[in-house]
Amino acid sequence: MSPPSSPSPSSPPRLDNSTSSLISPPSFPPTPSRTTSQLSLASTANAHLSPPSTTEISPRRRAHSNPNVSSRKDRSVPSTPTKSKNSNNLLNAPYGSLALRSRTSSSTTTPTVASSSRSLFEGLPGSAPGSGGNIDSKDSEGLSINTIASASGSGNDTPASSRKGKEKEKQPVDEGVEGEMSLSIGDVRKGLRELVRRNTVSAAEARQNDRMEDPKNELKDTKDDPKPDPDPHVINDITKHSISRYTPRRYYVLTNAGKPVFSSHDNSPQDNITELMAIASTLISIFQEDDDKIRCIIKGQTRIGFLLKPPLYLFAVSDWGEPEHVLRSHLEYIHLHILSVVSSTQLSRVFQRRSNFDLSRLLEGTETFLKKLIDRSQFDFSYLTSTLQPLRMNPATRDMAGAALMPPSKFNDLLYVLLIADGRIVTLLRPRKHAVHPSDLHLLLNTLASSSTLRSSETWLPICFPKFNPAGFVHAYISYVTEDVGLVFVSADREAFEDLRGWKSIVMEKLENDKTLTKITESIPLHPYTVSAIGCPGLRHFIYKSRTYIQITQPEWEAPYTEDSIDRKCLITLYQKLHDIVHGRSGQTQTYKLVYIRTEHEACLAWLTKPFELYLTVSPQLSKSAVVAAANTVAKWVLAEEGRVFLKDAPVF
Amino acid sequence: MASRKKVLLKVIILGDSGVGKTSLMNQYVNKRFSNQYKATIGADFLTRELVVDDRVVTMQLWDTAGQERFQSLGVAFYRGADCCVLVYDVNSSKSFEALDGWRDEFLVQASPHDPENFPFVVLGNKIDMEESKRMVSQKRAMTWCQAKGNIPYFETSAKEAINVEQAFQTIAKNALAQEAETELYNDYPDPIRIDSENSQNYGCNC
Repeated sequence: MSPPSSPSPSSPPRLDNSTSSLISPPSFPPTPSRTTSQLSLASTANAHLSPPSTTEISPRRRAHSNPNVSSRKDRSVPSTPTKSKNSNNLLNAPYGSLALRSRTSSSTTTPTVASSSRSLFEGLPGSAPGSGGNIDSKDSEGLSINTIASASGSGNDTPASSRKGKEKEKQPVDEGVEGEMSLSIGDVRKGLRELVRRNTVSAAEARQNDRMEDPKNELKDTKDDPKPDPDPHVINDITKHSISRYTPRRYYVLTNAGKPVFSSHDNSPQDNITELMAIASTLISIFQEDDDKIRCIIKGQTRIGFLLKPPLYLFAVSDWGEPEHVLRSHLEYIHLHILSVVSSTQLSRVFQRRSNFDLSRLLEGTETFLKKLIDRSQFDFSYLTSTLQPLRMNPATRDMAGAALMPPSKFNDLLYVLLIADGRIVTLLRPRKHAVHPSDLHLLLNTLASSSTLRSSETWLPICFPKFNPAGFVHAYISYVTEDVGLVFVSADREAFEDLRGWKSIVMEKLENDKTLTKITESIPLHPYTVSAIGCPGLRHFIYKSRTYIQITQPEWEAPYTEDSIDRKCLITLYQKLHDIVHGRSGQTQTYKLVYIRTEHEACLAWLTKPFELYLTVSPQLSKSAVVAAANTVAKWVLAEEGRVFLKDAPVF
Repeated sequence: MASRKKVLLKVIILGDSGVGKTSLMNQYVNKRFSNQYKATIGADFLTRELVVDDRVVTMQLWDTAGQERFQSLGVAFYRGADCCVLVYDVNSSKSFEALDGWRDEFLVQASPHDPENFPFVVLGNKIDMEESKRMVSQKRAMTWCQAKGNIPYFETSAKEAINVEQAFQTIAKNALAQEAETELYNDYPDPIRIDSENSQNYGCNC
């Protein structure tokens, strides 16, 4: 955990209110009159008076309009409307409302043709309305492909379509068939995609209309485009505190055979999940047939994000309005946690042997770990940023703990040595040649947090640290010396238990002799701090990430951001949006060093500098110069507190 | 391994268009039958729980489209199946003759690790129709099943719920028997050597 050869700047960046001194452009607009600069704020002269004023980032990037189902592959590929342009009437499809589309274009515009030329699924003579291949979505939670068509026979006039070398004669029309269909395409896959695309387009148009009706959302830039495409980076939708949003996210894991592995919500009947998994795997396979990967489905406010890690598929359902990569990062953690239990090698081995392997039974008992992980990832910014938040404490005590934990040289296979208090890192020692990946530590800390057994007895736990080495297991000697304080020695030697156990008593002796242990215990209740400690009126909350130490610090959440409140969910989503914007995680062509968003309820600022990232929340009444002042105050405060809030000089051995 | 947890079996139902795959499934899961024919598009999924030899089993039934134009879900669809149910209509020789093709298709696409012993079950459906319409004799069907490695054979009627329960019970039982064989994974995990060339930097130095 030591800083890399440290680009530690001598003077911290300062956010200057009048000129943009250290910050590269786009600079913080100092006055409302300059808001047409790159970073456009919703600050017309009366912005302060119009409560639900929203901000969006210009310039518009038409390229990213409407990323409904974005599939990764074909960024540069132009859209493929020509493929199915002729009137291939296959089925009469009622429009389900599922918006699913592969992102076929990142250049040019989205296919705005809704129904004219791509009528794959239209105009079937003799078919009843309401029939047909219908992808629609049931409730907010899920997706379903309803694939029973009520009026489609087998067309005997069909040109035989061959697929994969399989040739079969068409059947004559069956008895009892009602309705016929003319058919000229033998590929339901294309049909499904087409259907979905059409829905998407209409959904997109609907959304566009919405936007047109709300002129407040349409900020300047008229010169750019009179009728711009919806920009995915618009933030307005999450700034409304809507009760219908923020239902608990749902997470699912399945095998690539469509068998359920894990579901975050098992109160729903088993049957539903079993069927849902089959549907999900079918949806995924539809894209896979084209060597494509489905990334997400957007339906109304609901986003279904996918992560494909064969032999496992993961997906999450959310209506929080977070950027796409947030869901993905949650799914990544779930995947990593599964790997921490079985390791990547074993996982692929077992599925190579049997593709029908029922992993859920192998993972039996790990549900609690996964659920805990999901709980923590909802609000803990250290997950998204892949950072740590160590125990806030006196650096001298930290150093003493580090000294006591310096391992004797005889332990060749020792990987990490950790001292943990109240679930937070006090200090962490590592071999000089091995870095620590925060994700691995999150997995370890989460494992400890989820199991009181691990915290109540000496344990020898095989665990895979996927970021360190996904192929195999290391072993963790875990011993909680008090209720809250634990020692973890990670070794690659699976026979090292007794040795490490012996060493532990030596360590304990040292920790007790100089009262370090007591001091650590006393530090635990002092870890949380309130935002008032910064002494900055109007400041409500902030998250400060040191890029040097890859650690964060943040004050306690205070009212109105209480636990499980809509306000907290809304604010964390705002932070995530800001994080997305400053890092360009959604493929933005342009990133910003400074972003200001104001909602009815709060104003947020993201400020990216070389040594740190700062996300802060203030009262919406605060003037912009006051926000800038607050940002500077926080940065200064953290710099002064660095020794306490961060683990700065972790010893190496 | 403890088997407190329910076993999940993926069962694929294949056969020509109109032989009654969806009807059989509906009869089995929902105890319903409809005379109306609705072609399945792509696939349809149903689930039923049952008990086999004191084990609770969840059957995930993957009903496929018999019509060729809908059969493009491919490998992903067949992957990891625990049992494959081949359905034909006893009143249609053609649907019976197609069984070979369906079986081959499955084996190619699913490529089970032990194709010789992969559990298939054959169902001759629509035995409720008049005897005069019957085109495939029981003997003929059973001969075929024997030739293919003693595939269990049932004559069913989705309409009158004849043999449906029994057929699916056998399906579950045979799938489960396969499953039990290689349930274990007791390879000893590979040890990691930290001194080896594992010391790439992971971009994070904390």
